[in-house]
Amino acid sequence: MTTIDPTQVPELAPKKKGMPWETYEHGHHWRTAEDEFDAAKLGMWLFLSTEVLLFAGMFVAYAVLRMKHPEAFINGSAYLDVFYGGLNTVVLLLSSWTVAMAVRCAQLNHQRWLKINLIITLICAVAFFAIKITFEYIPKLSAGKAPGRFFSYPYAHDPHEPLWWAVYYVSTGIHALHVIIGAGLITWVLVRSYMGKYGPKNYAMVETAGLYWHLVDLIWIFLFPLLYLVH
Amino acid sequence: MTHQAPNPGDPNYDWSDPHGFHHDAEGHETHGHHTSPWQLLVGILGALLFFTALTVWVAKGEVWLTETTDFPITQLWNVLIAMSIATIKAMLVMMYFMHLRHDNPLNTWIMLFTFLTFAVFLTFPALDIANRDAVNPFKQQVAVAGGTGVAQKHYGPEGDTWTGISKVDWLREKQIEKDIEKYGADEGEWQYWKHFYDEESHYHHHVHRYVREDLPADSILWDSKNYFARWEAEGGGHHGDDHGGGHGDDHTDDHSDDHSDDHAADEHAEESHAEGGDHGSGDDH
Amino acid sequence: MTTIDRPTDLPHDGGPGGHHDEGSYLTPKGGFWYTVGQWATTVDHKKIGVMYLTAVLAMFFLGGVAALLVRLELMEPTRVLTQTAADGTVQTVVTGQLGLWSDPDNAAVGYNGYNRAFTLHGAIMVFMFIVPSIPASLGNFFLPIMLGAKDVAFPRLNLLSWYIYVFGSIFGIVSILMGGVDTGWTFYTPYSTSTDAEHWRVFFMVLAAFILGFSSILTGLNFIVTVHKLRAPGMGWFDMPLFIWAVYSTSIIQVLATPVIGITLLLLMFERTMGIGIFDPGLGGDPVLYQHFFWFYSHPVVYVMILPGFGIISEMLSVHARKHIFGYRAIAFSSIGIAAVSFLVWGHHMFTSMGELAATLFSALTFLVAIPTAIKIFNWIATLYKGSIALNTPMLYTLFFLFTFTIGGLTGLPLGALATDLHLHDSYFVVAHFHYVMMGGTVIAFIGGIHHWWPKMFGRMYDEKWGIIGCIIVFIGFNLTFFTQFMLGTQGMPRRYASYVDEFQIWHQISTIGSWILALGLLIHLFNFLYSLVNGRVAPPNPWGGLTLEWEAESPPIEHNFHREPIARHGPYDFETVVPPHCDPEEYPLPELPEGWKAHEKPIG
Repeated sequence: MTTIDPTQVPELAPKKKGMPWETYEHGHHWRTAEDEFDAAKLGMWLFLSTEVLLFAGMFVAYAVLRMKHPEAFINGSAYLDVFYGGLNTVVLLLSSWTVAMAVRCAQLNHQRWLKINLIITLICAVAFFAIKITFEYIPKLSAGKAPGRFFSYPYAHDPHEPLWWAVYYVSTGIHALHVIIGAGLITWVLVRSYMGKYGPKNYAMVETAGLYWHLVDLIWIFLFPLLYLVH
Repeated sequence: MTHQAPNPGDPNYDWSDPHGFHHDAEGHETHGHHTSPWQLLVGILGALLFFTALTVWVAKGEVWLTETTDFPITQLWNVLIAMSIATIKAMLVMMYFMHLRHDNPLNTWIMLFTFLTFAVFLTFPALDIANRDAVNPFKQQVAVAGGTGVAQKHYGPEGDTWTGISKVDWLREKQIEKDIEKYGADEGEWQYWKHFYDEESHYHHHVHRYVREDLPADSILWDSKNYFARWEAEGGGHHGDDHGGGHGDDHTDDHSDDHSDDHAADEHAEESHAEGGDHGSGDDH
Repeated sequence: MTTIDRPTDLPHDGGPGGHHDEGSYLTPKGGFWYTVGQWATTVDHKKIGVMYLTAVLAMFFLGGVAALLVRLELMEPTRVLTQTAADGTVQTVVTGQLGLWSDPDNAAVGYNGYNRAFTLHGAIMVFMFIVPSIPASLGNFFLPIMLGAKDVAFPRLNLLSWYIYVFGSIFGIVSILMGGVDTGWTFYTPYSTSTDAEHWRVFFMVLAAFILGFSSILTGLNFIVTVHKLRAPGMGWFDMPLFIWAVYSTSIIQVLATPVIGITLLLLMFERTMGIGIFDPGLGGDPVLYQHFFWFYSHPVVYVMILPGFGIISEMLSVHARKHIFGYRAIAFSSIGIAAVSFLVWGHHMFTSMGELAATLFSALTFLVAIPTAIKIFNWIATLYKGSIALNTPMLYTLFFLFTFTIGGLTGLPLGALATDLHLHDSYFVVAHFHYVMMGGTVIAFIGGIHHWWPKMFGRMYDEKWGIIGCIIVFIGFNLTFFTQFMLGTQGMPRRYASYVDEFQIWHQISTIGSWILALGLLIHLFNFLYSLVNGRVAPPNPWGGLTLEWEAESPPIEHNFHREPIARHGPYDFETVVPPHCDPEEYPLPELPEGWKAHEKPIG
């Protein structure tokens, strides 16, 4: 018969008091909270590498098709407005910065600014989307500059212009999907930060959601010159 | 990996870190919870915004150089410069916003391997498709790498149509038919080409560079016959050139929505003409 | 040997009580529906592994039935007989087609049925069986235990990946129920984008493969983090069992290659629904680009299929020959080497569709694969030398593997060489090569691995006699089925054809009969396993005298795997110096060391 020391058994130990982030217990299969934090980041980075390779497919398609039909890409890119593309770049960079600041605030227990930064990020996500749809997708689609079989713009020059639009819509579309997913993650983190879940001892979720959001930014950093600055 | 796992028999063995990942030889924490100073983050944001402006500015400069001097910037340089700037931006984001600089080096390795994989993925298909005729040049005549763009079949809202011409040509023919129906035989075709050049000068800023000379054999612009001269004579070629060679940021897509607002488009073109400068119509190449 | 005083106040120790009071993970904690609910929501890697095992074996069964139908159709060539009746009308009769899908008036109906059957076989076997087979079932179950961990790094993600797998498979089955797909498992454009345009079944099959990719990514990601972060104290990288090295290499490929099939299949779905034209030459796209995309994933993924098999072979070989594995580091690094090379050779699947320059490069690179693979084979054979070999079922399967995989690997060389490939490509030679590697490699290692770990997983011993009988029958059936296909291929029988010239019939008949024998052998194994669950001898914790950490656990393991967190005190293959856990030292005497020799505390090499 073994005697059980209650202080040694996690289930029996008295509950600690404090903010949720202070009383956070790491998963039972981890040795330390440090390991768990590191693993969460490692997992996220691996996931980001899969995301990069997902977009790699679009970049390869872009490269090969542009190599074969440069005129189509030059002509097609001319229909895009650098102003809105640039504006969206600025919006995303700004949101990336606020996310980085949010991680910093969580590390330093600035609860108020953590939330404010996350809210600004969300606003930027919505702004990105609004600009994309109002000033880019809707006018172009209504002019017939649509991908594939929906292409009906009669004033195109190059026989391969529908292909350009396919590349444009698929790559920006998948990117937009990632913006939505990222915004969802940020919302989740925001809700939980109102519950006081994040602080210096536990901010893995802020960090990993932030990493995901930075990826959205990273992809756009490459998409912007490739789509808008072709000549 | 050269990492030496600590021996659990060692009296100094750290049980919370059985692989010695969290400490270097002197026992200092090597990575983990680094807090970035806000000044640094603001500085990085500033640098990112600067590089964004730079890449736009460089691209416009390249267009300007190509159009006004004998020193055309080719696509290769366009891509190389833009991608170099984008890579710098991406490095900044990854190193500072994503904390790779102070993080476990493993995460950096993951990204490096990812980009290496990407490079392999990019190289071989590009190599293949660019060199289909490298060994047997005669193949170039029978196999067009990347496709011809001439579809046998078009999918449209009215269903599938078998044509044997490219989709762009097909759409143009249909539009000309529609215009002829609306405006009569001669006038209809003129309406189409007028709109065509309006669109072109609107979006492309300069009218297509092949418009006068060097027309490739398959260019659709052969069809425009002498409509270009008429369009130029009516002042279309001077649209929007007062911005000094850049792509205009202030354009909206009002031209392209529907073909019925031709009059509005005419007025717009004339207004632009009235205020426009006297640059060439981009036909100097 | 080093003795280790282990502090007891560690937070992960579970306290002095430890996990002593826990029952095995299989012990139900309540009524039937409660237990079902427990399993459906479990984050225990062992239960998820068992669920995966059940699912992939079910898929193996489905794909196997499709394969039997394909072989049955090929029993006889299709003959279209015409006959002019007395009144001048011409009658046509089609014979030699399977009644299941034939129409006596129209041969094309039967051909169509055949096309669907082989596509079904390929798609199910590749996407739903063989890719998740070993890593998701045995890997999930044993990777954490062999590392001495309580669970994988992200247990909930693990459960999610299982549900994604089920969800994806449902789409595949819906597609089959809608009439099946005839594109071949590779979904080559333009065939996959232009046929069956009015139906959604191709779309659903592609969607299924797309979804299954996420499951694969999540599993791989989970394993990489687990290996990096959850190794037992004292277990350095080169103290890991070789199965872990193999699964680790597999996971790297899964993480790096699978997203590319994601974007490929996404583009394919867009192509089908919207005609975006990236793979359509009619809009300026390139169908060969699709092949590049597809094989950039699908070539590395054949190493996802085979590498875990290599890992199992390393384990079984060493344990059942009771000998330290020869060239531990060489085998470990060759796994990583195969993973690295796998990304450079995809072009050998498309020699005839791409340009000569790229084809030449890819051909040269392809031969690189032979190096790490041969290193493994030589090391395994060297391990057998002077080992005390127990000829039980796992060992027989290991020998079986060495035989068939070597044939499979060597026949890959003529396919990788440009000149011979021009003759052999798209013939039965390719089919035979592929099956010798995949079936004779992965599946054989998988079956052997299930035998090897069955006592650990379910706490029961399978019947050794029937295991050996089954193994011999599978061996005969397998070689009858597929060796004949090498003959057919060299004589010019193209793959994916529903009919053939009469001269080939004898080979096809032998092959078909072989497929029945093969099926019989597999069924014997199935019944042997099921019988052991009901009536098998209760398994001791370490029936084979293995040294890896899973043999320190109970059979079957308790919920948290170990009563106390284990410590890697010895290497995984130190049979010469260590008495296996739970084993009688008299039953496993350590060999006498020669005069002046000392036992190694760490594995050599």
